[in-house]
Amino acid sequence: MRKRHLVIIPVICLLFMAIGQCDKYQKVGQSARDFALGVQAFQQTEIVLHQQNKITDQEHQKLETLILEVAKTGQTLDQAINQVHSNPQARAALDAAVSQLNALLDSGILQIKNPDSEAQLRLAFTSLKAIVDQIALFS
Amino acid sequence: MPKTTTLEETVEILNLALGVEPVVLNFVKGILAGAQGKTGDQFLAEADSIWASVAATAQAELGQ
Repeated sequence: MRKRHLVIIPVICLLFMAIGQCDKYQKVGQSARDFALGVQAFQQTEIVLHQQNKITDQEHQKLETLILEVAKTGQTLDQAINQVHSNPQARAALDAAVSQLNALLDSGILQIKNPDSEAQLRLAFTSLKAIVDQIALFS
Repeated sequence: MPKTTTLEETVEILNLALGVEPVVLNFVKGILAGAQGKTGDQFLAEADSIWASVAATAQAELGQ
């Protein structure tokens, strides 16, 4: 009887640990998906603004170059989350994503001359930063 | 007099617990997938697909 308890207790502990890990992994995965969706929405907004001549060709080129870098970093981040289910590779990829986002803000958004376009893209950027901060909380 | 657990019993218990773990993990994954729609792997696969689309669009816009 005592032996059975000694088996059941660790199994129950493992069950709770597994639930916790799966739930955490699912939430990180969902945040990673939301991050990608946010960048895609940001890109679509930028393209529309460019088509409306509210963003210059030069600004457009710069922003798309930065978005391409963010996309590459996002793929690396997803791979790190998938392979190691978190630290420390995911932390390095996350730091790279934050760095890319800062570059997008400083070298891209803040350099836009049209104030309305800058405000729109800055608003879209705020949600991206919030999602990345959420991923950081889990990792 | 209380019976103490021998080393042999401890090893047996650990083996049982370790043997159960993958089954438990799959079971929990299945429950979560059913209850909340998608697993972490499915979300990440979706994210990868979106990143590929974003990168392709950016390259097209850049004329690469």
